[in-house]
Amino acid sequence: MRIPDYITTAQTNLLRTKLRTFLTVLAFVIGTFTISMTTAFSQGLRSYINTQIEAYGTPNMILVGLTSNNQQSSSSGVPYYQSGRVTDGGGRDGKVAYTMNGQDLAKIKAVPNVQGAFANYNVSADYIQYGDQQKYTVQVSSAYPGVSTTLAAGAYPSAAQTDGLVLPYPYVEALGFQDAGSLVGKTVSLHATNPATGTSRSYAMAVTGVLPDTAHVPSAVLSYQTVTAMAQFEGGSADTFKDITVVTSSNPTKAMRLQIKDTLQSDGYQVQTYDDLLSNFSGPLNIITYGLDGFAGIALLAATIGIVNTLLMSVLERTQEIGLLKALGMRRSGITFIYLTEAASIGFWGGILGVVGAILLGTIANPILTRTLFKGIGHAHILSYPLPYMAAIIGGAMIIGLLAGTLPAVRAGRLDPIDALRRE
Amino acid sequence: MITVEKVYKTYGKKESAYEALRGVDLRIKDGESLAIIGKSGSGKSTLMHLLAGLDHPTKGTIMWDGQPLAFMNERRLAKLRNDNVGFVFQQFFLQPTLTVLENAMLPLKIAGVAPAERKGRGRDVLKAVGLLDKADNRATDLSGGQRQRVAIARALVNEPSVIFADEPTGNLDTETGKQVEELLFRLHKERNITLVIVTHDNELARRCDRTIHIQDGKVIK
Repeated sequence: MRIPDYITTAQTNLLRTKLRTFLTVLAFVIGTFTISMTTAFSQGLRSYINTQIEAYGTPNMILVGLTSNNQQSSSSGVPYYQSGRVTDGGGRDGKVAYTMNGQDLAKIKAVPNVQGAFANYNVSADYIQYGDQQKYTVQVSSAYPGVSTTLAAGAYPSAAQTDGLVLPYPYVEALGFQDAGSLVGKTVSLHATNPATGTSRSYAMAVTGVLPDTAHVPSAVLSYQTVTAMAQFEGGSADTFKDITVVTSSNPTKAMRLQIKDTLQSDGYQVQTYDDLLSNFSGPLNIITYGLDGFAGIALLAATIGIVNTLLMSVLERTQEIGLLKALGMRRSGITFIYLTEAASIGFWGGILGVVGAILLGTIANPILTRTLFKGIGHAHILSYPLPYMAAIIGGAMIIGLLAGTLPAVRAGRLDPIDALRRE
Repeated sequence: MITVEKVYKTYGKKESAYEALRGVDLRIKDGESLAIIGKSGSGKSTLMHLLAGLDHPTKGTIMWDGQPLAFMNERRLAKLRNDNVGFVFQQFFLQPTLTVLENAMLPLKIAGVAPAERKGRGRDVLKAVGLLDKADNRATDLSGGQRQRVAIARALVNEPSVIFADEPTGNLDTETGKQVEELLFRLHKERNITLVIVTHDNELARRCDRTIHIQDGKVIK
């Protein structure tokens, strides 16, 4: 027989016992639907977490600080003074946090593949104001040339722009705008005070972009030059800072990140890469995903038994027909292949219906979920259905069907045509 | 030509062993019609199954044109049946889910003939048995005589050299049985197909060129 003949014959055979086929397929639908839903949920959660993490780091950002080596106490328990480093005076445990300085910066900049290294100054702004409207508090952090994340509107300030500002999403409404796009290009003023002298000044900032609407409201991002200027105005020393942000080329490989990390660690620094950031979240997320998939797997296993049962029954019922096909010249392998096609078809239809059902449910549930249970995640979809995953689920269901069909198929192939055709 | 030499067939083992055939010798010439006659349990159906290569003899040789069936593998035996053999059974064995035309085309589908050619040849044989107007009906919608004619069409469609008919009129009343019989012999003559009829009906056997009687697994004259 030709391949299309096998496929149509299998479908015709399945339609002979509609209710039984329907129930067997249904068992498969339950399994594939569950797997589709858990995949959709974990995929959605993953992309949601990635958006959240972007507020703290991107793949080409590495945070470098001092390790406990540099913070260790002397044998007497009293920490040594380290030349060129300022301390915070120590906590209750006697441990002292040292600051970093220009020497660290120069050393880190020399590491291969490091494109830029930036001192992180502690700066604070009193308020932000648009025109002469209401004043709002604002937390500020620095933009790093070469680092960008997905924005709701606009872009990060260029390396040359000294007065750029990217605002968190809630400021769109706070500053009196309808949407993120209309805030971009406006000039706002940022107010800062020197705590030692009490003098204050304001910085005119051009809004270049708006951050996406995430659950946690991150800091506003300022041009690096403004942050440096503010730090000095607020009384900080240019050579004293808590840690350093390293920027690599825009799309570093994991190997490159690891290599930089290793070099810096052997130099005695404490290093946190994007991978470290992710692993904090992906560990628990994987456990949840595997757990849910495990339950779905049990459902599929039950469906498998259904296929074996259904096909074994139909081998019994169709004994005579199998005998006839053999008498007419069909080979054992042909009979086996018909049954395997039927088994794979059950898996295929179960997979299609399960995936389509899950996508339909997701289309209905996504807007409801983002409005209620996952309020504040913005336009992110909590259920996401990547096509390759869905195709893999359907393919997997067919393979499971095939495996389940092997026993009945081989049995059908081995049937003796004489027994089947013998006159009763 | 089909040659049968000293063929034995035993079912079961040891005490429960049952000898269905006990030394059968037979030659079937191309284009002849042969009736194998005998009571039920005489071994005549077993002989037919062995002739068609559906089963293997316990002892002895069956040859098609000098080629021993025992030397053929499953693939060649299947091809031999598909190319050269047509079957007509007492119970018709039509597939209830298929149409009359689809039933008639079944051997061609198994052979892997392209759908368009299949349809043309299927319609040709339905015309030969006078059922072209029923082509798109379900096989279950037909009367017994019509069903057996569809089965004959199915046996003809691959243009076989031999048709094995196992009690072809056994499930039909006298009138329709006669029609089916006429059809079989007409096709046998027109197309020069070897016809082997297994029956216990002497009337039917008398129309054949030659008759052999089987009793207790042996050919008696």
